[in-house]
Amino acid sequence: MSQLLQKAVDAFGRIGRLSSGPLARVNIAMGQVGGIVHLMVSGLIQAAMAPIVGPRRLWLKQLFPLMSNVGAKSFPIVSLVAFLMGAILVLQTGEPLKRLGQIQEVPGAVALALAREIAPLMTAILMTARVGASFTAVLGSMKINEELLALETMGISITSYLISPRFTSMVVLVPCLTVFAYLMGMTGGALVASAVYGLPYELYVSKSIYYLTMTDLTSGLVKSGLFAVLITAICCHFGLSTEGGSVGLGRNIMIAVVTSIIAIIMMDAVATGWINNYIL
Amino acid sequence: MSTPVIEVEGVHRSFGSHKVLRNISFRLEEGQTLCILGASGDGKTTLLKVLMGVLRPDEGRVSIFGQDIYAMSTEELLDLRRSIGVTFQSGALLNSMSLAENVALPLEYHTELDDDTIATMVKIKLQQVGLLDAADQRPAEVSGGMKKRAAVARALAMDPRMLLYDEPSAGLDPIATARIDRLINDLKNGMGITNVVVTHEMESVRRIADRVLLQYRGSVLLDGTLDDLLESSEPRVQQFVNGDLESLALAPTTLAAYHRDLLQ
Repeated sequence: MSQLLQKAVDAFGRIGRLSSGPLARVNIAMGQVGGIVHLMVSGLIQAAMAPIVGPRRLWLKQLFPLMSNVGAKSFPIVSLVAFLMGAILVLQTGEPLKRLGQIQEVPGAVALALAREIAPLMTAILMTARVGASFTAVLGSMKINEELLALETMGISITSYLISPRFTSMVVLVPCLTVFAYLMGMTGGALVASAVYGLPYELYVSKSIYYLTMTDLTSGLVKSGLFAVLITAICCHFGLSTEGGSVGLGRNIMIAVVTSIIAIIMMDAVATGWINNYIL
Repeated sequence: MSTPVIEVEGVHRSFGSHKVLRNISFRLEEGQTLCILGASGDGKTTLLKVLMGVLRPDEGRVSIFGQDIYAMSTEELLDLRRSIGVTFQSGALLNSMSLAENVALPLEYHTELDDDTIATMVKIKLQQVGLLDAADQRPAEVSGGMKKRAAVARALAMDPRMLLYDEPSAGLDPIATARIDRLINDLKNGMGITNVVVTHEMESVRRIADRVLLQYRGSVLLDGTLDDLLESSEPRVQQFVNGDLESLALAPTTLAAYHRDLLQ
């Protein structure tokens, strides 16, 4: 399976070498996309298999520090930003709805926006900046210092040892952080709605629950899982393909972060369109 | 004649239009130390990477332990690599781990041994290279020579049949260099390990080499024993052995000539 994918990636690369000028740029981009897709598939397969087969002890040794970095250490910043986003959403929606005499509808609007869009998207962007960039930096430094080459010559699979625990930690913890972001956003919204517009907490909670459906919550969680896969694949790919010393590393970190954010927003548009057409 | 451990036939490798390896062929018997010599940029490290199985040659065949390594599947190559230890010029130790954890890494990945057994094996390997006292230190906390010896200990972890060294004495003081050379000889004489050492240090070559491969601009200039190297009458070989700068084709040789060339 992995070899078939590698052949497909090589084929992309060969097309790139055959052409020149603007076509070459397109083909280089195709080669990068091929590399990202290859890493995504092989990394996810390894992540699914790692708890069952292979060097489990070593995998767990890698996984726990990563989970601490992705989950526990990201929690404060995600919570803070989500809290403020909830508060801002209440302030932005509160004034027009107050003019229409519909201030009691603020919790519903904020709950829907947070669950469907703001919490997953904001968490993904924060995780790109905080964790994705560090994935690129760590893997890129290891490439520059020949540590990856040393692993390869020891017969240690880079995908199984370094990439699969990153996929596992991100796919498990980004949706969890999204739930926390949602709850913190609701808390921020409820506090501001109470302080500025005098909405009681009980009313805020009951209105939020009234408007929210299970689909709203699960669609946000599914999207956050997809974002986690994208961030990991893109940032790890650009880390592994680092060349040109510290300048090359800096360039690849920038490209990884920008590409991840664009990919997240594109994926969000596709997923939202699909959910609106086929699920809701 | 026994089966060679390494058999290289007609290897060519280019990077873009720059030909780095040109028609390289040689054989190495088990339990010998081969020194690959040459000036900087003559393709020594490229040849070593071809032998590691990480750089596919454009043409030619590379057999290790009788198997063509570039005709193997990825899984077969990963298996073969357990029998080959590699040490890099920088050591290439994982900076986030202690020296002991670096040595334990291949054992933890490839074996089902329990923690106590792995800890004992790591102690044995570190003892072999004289680094038992530094087991808990990180690579950033030890000297260049210690890093290289730790890299040898890591390469020895899986009890390989062959070790590949990329400039093991580069940047080391003479005592540290002599210590590394003695280690290479001990591994050959005590454990029968085949060594391939890329170097340009003639002092080390005199101490450790059974066979010598001298590269010149990507081609093999000399393939023979240490005596063949020392007794060769070929001017370019003599120039390398004696470090003879006088006969090097360096132009311009005077400051006046340099100024003249610059102005032109």
